[in-house]
Order: sequence, then C-alpha cells, then structure tokens
Amino acid sequence: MLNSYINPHVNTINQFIVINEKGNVIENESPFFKDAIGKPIKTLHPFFENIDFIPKKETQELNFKCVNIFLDDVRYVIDITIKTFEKDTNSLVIIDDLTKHYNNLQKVTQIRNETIINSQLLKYKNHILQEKERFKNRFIRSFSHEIRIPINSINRMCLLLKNTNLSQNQRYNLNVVTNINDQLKHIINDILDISRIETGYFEINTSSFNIYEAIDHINAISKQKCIEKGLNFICKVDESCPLFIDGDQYRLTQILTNLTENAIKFTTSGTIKLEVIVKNKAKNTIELDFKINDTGVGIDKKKLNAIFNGFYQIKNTKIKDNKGIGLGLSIVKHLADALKGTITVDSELKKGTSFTVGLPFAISEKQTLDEKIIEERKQLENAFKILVADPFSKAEIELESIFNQKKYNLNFVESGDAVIESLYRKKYDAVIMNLKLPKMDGLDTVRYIRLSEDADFKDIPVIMVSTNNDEEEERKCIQNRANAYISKPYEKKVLTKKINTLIKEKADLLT
Amino acid sequence: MKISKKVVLIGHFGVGKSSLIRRFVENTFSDDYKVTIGVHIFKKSVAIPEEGKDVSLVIWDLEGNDDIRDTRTSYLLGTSAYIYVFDVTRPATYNTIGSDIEYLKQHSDKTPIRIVGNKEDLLTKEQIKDLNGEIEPLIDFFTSAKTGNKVDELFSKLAMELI
Repeated sequence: MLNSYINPHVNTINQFIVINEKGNVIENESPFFKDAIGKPIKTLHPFFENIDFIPKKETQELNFKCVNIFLDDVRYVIDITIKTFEKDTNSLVIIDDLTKHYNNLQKVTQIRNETIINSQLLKYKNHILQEKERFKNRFIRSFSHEIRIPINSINRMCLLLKNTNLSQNQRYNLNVVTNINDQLKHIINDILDISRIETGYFEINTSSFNIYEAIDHINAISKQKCIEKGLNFICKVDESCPLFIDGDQYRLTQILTNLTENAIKFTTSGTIKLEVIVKNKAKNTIELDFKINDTGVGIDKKKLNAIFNGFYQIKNTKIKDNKGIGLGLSIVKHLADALKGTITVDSELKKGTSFTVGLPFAISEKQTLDEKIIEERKQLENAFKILVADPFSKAEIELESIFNQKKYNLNFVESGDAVIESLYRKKYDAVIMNLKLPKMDGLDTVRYIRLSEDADFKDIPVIMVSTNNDEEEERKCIQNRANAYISKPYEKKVLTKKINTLIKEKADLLT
Repeated sequence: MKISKKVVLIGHFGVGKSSLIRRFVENTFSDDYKVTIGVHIFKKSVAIPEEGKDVSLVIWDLEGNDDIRDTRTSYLLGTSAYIYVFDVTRPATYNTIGSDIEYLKQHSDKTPIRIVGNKEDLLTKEQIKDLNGEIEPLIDFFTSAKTGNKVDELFSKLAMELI
C-alpha cells in the first residue's frame, strides 16, 4: 500500500519558482518555464492567470493535483503546490512532474468510465425501448378493440343478408366477404392476444373439462378443413387419459387449433395427425403430450429457432394460401409458457413437421358424465341422421321445426360438393336435397352418389326438393335414381312420412 | 481593455465537457471519448464589440465524477462562472442536478451557474421538450459539441455577463 503512495514520487525532482508580492518571478528552477525570471507568473501559463485569490502574508499551502499542461506540444501532468508565508511577501510554487504516474491512472480511469457509460446508455436505451413497447401495446390494444366493433358489425350484416333471397352469384360473393371478414377477425385476435401476453393482461382460467370432447371439437373442425384440401386427418387420444382434467380449455384449444391449422396450411398432400399421449400420470396430476404431425413442406433446421418469434412466416412457393401475419406460433409458445408447459419442434424439409406441446393438468375429482349428457348422447346416437342440402337458409328454420330433434339429427350444407364431402365424412340415413345447388346441382349430385362405389352411401335414400312441382322435373329425378321428389313449401306430414318410409325400406333391405 | 475570467466546466464524466471546450476553442470535434483526469486549462478571448472589450476566458475543464462533491475544492478557487454540463442521453448524469447545483451555490453563492444539456443532436425536438419539462432547475442551453449547436452562444453570452 505504502509503495503506491511513494512510487509516483521516486525519481521525480521538485521544481521551484519563487514569486514576489507583485506576482513576478524572482527565482526559477523549473525547466518548464525557461527565461521566466522577471516576468509576471500570470504570463507563464493560463493556470496562473487567476491566482489572485492566493492570500498574502499568511501561511498557507494550496495543492493543485493533476494539472495538464502543454509545453512545446508535449503534455505534462503535474502537481502544483503554492505556498505563502506569514512573515514573507514572496510565495513559493512547487512543481512535481508526475506525467508517467497520471498517464497510468488515465488508462485505468478510461476503462472504468467507458464501462460505466456503456452500462448507463444500455440501461437508458432499454428503458426507452420498454417505453416504446408499452406505448405500442397500449396502441394495439385500443386499436384492435376499436376495429373489432366494425368487423363484428360486418359479420352480423352478412348473417342477416344470408337469410334473404339471394341469387347463387350473390350468395357466393357473400361467402367471400364472410370468409375475408373472418380472416380479418382472426388476425386482430392474434394481435390482441400477443399484445395481452406481452403486457401481462393475460389470464389463465382453470376449470374442469372433458378432454375427449375438447379434442373431438378440434377433430371435427380440422377434419372438415382437411377434406376440403384433400388431406387425411387422424385424431387419437390415449385411452389411459382421464375423462375430466382441470386446466384452461380455451387456451388449450387455441394452441391445438393454431398448430393444426398451421399443419393444414403447410401441407399439400398426405396426413395431419393429432395425438394426445399420457406422458406421466400421478394420483392427482397428469402430464399430456399433444403431438401434431404433418407431411407438409417442412422447415429448414437452421430456421427452427426463429419460428416462435413474432412475425415469422414460412416462405414456400407451393403454399398459395399463406394468410395471417406470422403470430400464430409466437402465441402458441407464449400460451405454452403461461400454462407452465413446453413446446418442441422437429422438422425436415419436404418431409413434414412435428410439434409436441407438453402440458401439466390436475385430474378432476369428477370423472363421470352427467346422466343428462349421457341421455342426450344416446339420443343423438339413435336419431336418424339426415343431411340437408339447401342453399336457402330459410330451409334450415323450416326443417328444424318439422323434425323432432330427439328423433332426427339434421346437418345442413349448401352445395352439391359439400354433400359428397359430408357423405364421405359421416354416415347418414337420408339426404334431402334441393335441385338448385351451386357448383354441382342436385341432379348431378344424386348421379354422383349412385355411381359411387362407397357402400356407405351409394344407396342412401335421397329426396329431391323443388319449388316447381313439375312432373317432368320429377321424372328426371327418379330417372337419376333419386328416391322421391317433393315440392316446396315443406309439409310436415308428407316429408316425415317419406323419410320414415325410405329409411325403413333401406333398413329392411339390409336385414 | 482585457478582462480575464475563470470559467469552470463541471459535471459527470463522459458528458462532453472537453468536447464543448474543444468545439469552442478549436472548432473541432472527435467522437472518441478520451477521459480527462485532473484538470485541463484552455484560454480563448471573446470580443464584446458593444462594450469595446475583450474577455479572456480561462476555461478549466475538470475531470468528471460520479459525485461532484468529490471534485478537488482547490480547482474551484477564483471561479467567475460555472458551466454545469450533463448528457441528455444519460439520466444518471442529470438525476442529481438539483443537489449538485446546491453544492456549487454553497461553495460560492454569487457565482453564476449555467446548466447545459449536451449531446442534444442525439434526441428529437420532442424528447428535448419533454426533458426540459422533466428537469428542475431550468436548463439554460441544450448544446451539441458534435454539431456546434449553441456552443458559441453559451460562451459568448457568459462572457458578456461576466464583464
């Protein structure tokens, strides 16, 4: 320790300048200020220019450490001491050249200060960024909220318009508007979600729910979308999974819907598979792995780390329907984190992608279905399943009032194509079909059904419906192997009798 | 008539005290930060034509500290005016401005103090406006040693006040 005080002064020689009461140099041993004798000290260097404050005839010592002076373009760093004396009007200036020592000190100080400044600037920049982020999120929340109001209004107006008499062309255009509006709503919801997550305005609502039903719901929607795209959809739930679990069903559905929709979007042929696997099961808790595999375009392994960042979009020329803004996977990652879960991804270009979301749940105390639900399910299973193809929404209201919902389960579609798709997807007992259908009309559709080799529906009873009540039309329908022809408006007695007879005849044939 | 006045630049390190002086004295600027240790002393004359006088400003560029109470008091002796400089981009350099000014006033009550926010070129006009409303006491000048904005005005006005 002592050395650090001594070292700077070793090998230094003090330089002395004596000045008189007028401030003129009367003695000088300093090589810094040559030819100084007789000159006012104020003229030697600006340092001395304002030393009028130095008291006269008082014993005092003033120390000026670390004074940088330039002489003949050379920098010296010196300590200057000015001494005054009670019994003498002269003053003594002592100069200590400590350039080497101070240069070392400067190097150390330079590093220290730079570190502190960089840290302060980083902190400030971070603060500014956080402020901007907060502002951005506030703006997005408010903007998204405002924009949802007109979007919902458009939706309502489309629904109202759907219930009016529209031409096929108008109905098609209305569907386009509805779809685009739905996409817009989806995007806004994504933006709102990410904003809520980032600002902490995000809640997890835990309740007991039926996991099989939740998956079934996703299965129904995804299957439909896969059929529309010519893909297979397989859904499987581990049988050891309990019926009821405690968790946030809404957020789980959001995660799985996002991932399956993504899989469908980026797959042009093959299969999408959603699997629920029991990873760990204890007395009261369970860990489930939700696996979504596709046979799609795949993701470059180098880019796998980036996919969960916001606004990441897979670019592939094969994918024409790349709607959205690339927030889906970011939301899924945030949701999985918020649910204390994990998400992993494995992918190979041109072969497909596999996402695994691992989530913990509590096993609900209740593990049996309510009797009412069981009864409803039984009724649904036993009811006649009738597919109705009618583009006029009025038909839905009319037919639902005609058919007892406990005995008949009606599904409505609007086109001939949709009839075929639905028949491939689910087993029906009968079809009620309007002759006037968009794209593939009623006659073409019944012809397709009869020519089909699918045993499940090639002989299905088909009742053709028309507003014309025309014999020629009826003849054509029967010629094309429709089972019956009725004219609108629907009459309860006629229709139920026809349906029941046809279904019975079919059942008799099978037995 | 030539008057000599000692002006001391004080403030946290890295706020640009030396750069302000270099801009004023030599009209140069360097982006490289070179720490000042101890004190550098510069001199520049400012002509005041209205008064027919020349003021020789002896400018003491003091090393910056985290706390200006650590400044060697001998440096402050005989000071005619202080320029307190802070960096507009680093709140750490102006968070203690109120107590720092109080400290200087305790040291020499009647010595004028100019408060200067340097590096104004790094902020937008809107940000400068916000900062001006945020800091107490009022800031006299927002300067930029880099662009030279308000630097001459700062020293010239001070010189006029000192005669």
